[in-house]
Amino acid sequence: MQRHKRNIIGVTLIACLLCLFGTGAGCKTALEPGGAYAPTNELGQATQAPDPVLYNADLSFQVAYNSLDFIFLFEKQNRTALDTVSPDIHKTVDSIRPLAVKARDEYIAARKVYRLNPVPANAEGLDAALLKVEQLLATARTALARNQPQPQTQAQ
Amino acid sequence: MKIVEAIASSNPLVGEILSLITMAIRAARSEEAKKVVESARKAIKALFTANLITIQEQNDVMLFMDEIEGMVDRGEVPPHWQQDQS
Repeated sequence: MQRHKRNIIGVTLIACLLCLFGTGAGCKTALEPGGAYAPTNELGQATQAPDPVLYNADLSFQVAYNSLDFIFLFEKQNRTALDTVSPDIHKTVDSIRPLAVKARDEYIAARKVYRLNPVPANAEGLDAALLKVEQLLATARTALARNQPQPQTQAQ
Repeated sequence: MKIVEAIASSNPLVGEILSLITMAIRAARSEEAKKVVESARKAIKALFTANLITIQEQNDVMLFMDEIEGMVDRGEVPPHWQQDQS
């Protein structure tokens, strides 16, 4: 089972590396016309300019939100077991919870402002709100990673 | 492993994504873990490929955002997002 898990992780890492080497980082996102971020009318004509800025911000938010959601649920469901590893996990994750709710609300508020008026200044507001969510995720993830039981290392 | 770390360090977000995927796989094959992996997969695609983001992919993200916006408008906080009162 352990070997199977390692294999999955290995395959995932290789796939990510192939993405890096094969296509190059930072390519522009192209939105297919007719989607929610590149709307068209029934004739297929664009009703507004495609908005990769909003799409990328929302996608990043989705990753961060789902990851935080996963960490919060994982911590709640395994609190007793995690406490035996380190009480700091609960302390740190619990301190992040209200901040995460605030950051979530701020992102949604910044998103509403941007959608009403998609100018660069409002895109910056969107990015700033997103950064807060991502920073909280980094803190939560570090709390879990830092307190993981260390695997035994072989003497070289 | 050092090569992976070196590449990840060149772009912090890559490191984040790799860690998230690893964490999700390690933790459990739960629905929550699947959501993390799936959204990370989409993020990798958006970051590193020039492929077209399909109508379906766009609509999925918008649907997710509509759900979160609805929660925020209603002032909802999921139970596991609430601080421990004990």
